Amino acid sequence: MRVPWFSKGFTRSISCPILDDQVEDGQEIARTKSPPPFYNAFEFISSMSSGFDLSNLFENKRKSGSLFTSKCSGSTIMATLETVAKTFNFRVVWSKGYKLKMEGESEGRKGKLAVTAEVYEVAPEVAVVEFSKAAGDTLEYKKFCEEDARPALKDIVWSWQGENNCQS
Amino acid sequence: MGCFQSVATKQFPGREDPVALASQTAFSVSEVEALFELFKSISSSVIDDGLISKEEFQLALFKNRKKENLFSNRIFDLFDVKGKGVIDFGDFVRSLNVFHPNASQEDKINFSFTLYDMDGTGYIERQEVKQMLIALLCESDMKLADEAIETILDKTFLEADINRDGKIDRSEWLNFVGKNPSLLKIMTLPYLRDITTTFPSFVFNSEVDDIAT
Repeated sequence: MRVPWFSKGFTRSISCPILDDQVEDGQEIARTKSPPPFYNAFEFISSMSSGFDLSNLFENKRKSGSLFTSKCSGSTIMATLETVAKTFNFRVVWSKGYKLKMEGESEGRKGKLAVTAEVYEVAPEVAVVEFSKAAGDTLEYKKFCEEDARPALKDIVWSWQGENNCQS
Repeated sequence: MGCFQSVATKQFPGREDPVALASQTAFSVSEVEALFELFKSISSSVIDDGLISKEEFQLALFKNRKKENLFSNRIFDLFDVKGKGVIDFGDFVRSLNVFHPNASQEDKINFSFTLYDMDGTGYIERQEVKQMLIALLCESDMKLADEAIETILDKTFLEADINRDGKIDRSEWLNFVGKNPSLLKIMTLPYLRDITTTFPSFVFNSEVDDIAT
């Protein structure tokens, strides 16, 4: 699969992890009743496109993304995010609907790193997950996204923001 | 001129006086000078002619001069105010001005509308948005059934296209952005506030009197 010509036209089938039904204080029930909030076409285009993001003019290397798409259900994504948080010793400060906030245990350069994650729905089977830094050092946040979260989430990620894999 | 080369800075076509540019924009004179440092590095990256070509723009944006997409093309066209196929310094400063954190919401909203109105008809047509979605999916290597794309458009236009004519006009866009302020996120570059620290211009380059600032 590493040889480019072999994978031309091949779409990796992304199977989402099947999780046991864990009913946690009504969250699971709430999530199955309603889908994540709608992420409209313009939000989708402006967030995912690297061509509209002029901040790259000011950066020397390609900016790492803090947003990704997923084919998994909102509930699966939320559960996966909570698992990832625990893996890296982040405490889930709160988790409501399709939004959660996690906080690192150790004090960083500017206090504890806190990250929020929000899940939206573009279309059935296309979710968008947005990370943002709630508190702490920006460099530590970028490192967390790039080195910790990214590899840990690869099973549910369809495509990362600004990533262009099109072999034109 | 003779054979004596003047020590003055080489020709930058369209390079306007920093004081004049500062007065027309949200930038201070030293910020305009800092922008000039950025402009110089971008405009000299392929051909050193004091102008930003499309290739140089792509190189700056994607770190790859050959890469282009629908979106970067559109931004380039909007920055190329005079439609000459190149961006001069005046164009650069005035266009970036809209992205300044202090620029008016109105300017940002107008610019974003024009951005999405790819063919410049004064309306954002459903077909244009479809084209952009397809381009985005292709570049991100995502595949979606046409039906799914139509659903995204349906839901988006349900909210945005108030008079149901299949296209979004400026007033509908204004209304839509009011309900979805995150749409304007791309219209502000926080970097522009710290531009003088990111691109310090050397003191002896400054053409402005210290007293005047």
